[in-house]
Amino acid sequence: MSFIAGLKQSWPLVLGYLPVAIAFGISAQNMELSTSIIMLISLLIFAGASQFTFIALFAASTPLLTTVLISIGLNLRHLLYSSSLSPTLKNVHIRHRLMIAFGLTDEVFATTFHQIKQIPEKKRWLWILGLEFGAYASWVIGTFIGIKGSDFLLNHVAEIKPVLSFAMPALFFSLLLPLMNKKTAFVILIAFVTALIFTLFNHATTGIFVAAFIAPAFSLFLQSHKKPCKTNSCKS
Amino acid sequence: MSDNLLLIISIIIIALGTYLIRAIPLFINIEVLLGEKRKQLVRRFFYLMGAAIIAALFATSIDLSAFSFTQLPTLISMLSGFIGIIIAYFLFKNSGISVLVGLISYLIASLLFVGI
Repeated sequence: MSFIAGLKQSWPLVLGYLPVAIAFGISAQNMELSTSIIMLISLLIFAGASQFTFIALFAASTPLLTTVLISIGLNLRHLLYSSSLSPTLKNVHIRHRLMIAFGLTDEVFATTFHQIKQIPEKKRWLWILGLEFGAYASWVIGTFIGIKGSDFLLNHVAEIKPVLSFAMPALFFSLLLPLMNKKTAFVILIAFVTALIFTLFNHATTGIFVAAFIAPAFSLFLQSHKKPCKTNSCKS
Repeated sequence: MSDNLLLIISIIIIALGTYLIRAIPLFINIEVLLGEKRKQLVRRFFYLMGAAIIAALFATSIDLSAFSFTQLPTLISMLSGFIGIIIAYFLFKNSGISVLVGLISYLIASLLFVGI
């Protein structure tokens, strides 16, 4: 049942992933990659930014070694996700951790982080697996739809594309709201502004990395240097 | 070695690299590494880091090109979507419903303001 519960929670990810996966299928098809190669990319890598970068660099005849290193480098931010989740999964069996590691994308991490403490420890890996299965299935199916339906989609689906493009910010915003409290408000603000500034200069991935460390570090630094309260009103 | 084979090998290497990046930290217990004294600090840091990452992901997912006068309908639609999410969250306390309400609000606003 935990797997099904996780799967049910994946529908916002499905909504967000489908148009991106379709776009990937269409783009890769236009670069004259074979259907089997395009499907292999989505089946094995399962990382949007990395996949788009790979096909773009490949189409530009960039040396393969450079292409591979840049594509892997783009995913370094995933180190943060696993590190952040690791304490909540310390009682999960090794083989189950190996299974869930594959699908730890940005959105899977955000949804998991938001909900994991409500799930009994022994069932957490199953729940995450269900969540990842929904996300992964939509990614693979979306890629296939993009490959096979590229002509039809480009001519007829323009109307719903803007709504689906709002799915990702909608998902992250809805996951952020429950996290907002006195302890996290400052961290969230610093992280948001930091990442926004980096995005404006086309360094979004670096911005995520920097925001992830600077915001909490700065917050903890300020708390550790906060003057102790000496009046009675502080105790209320 | 044929081009196709090199391409497949590249894809496999990227996939393996990505998997290892995601997997390795799941096996490192930072709390054990840093010791009992720093355990609370580590837990607080990772909790705050999680919130910071989601805030950063939110910031990087926003369509910044909407923030111009030429894209006013898109901006209004986006703001309507976020307002819809806030209202839905306070009413239902459910992220999934909040996302759905946000998308519907976005769609309605985009249809209403398409003429601007």
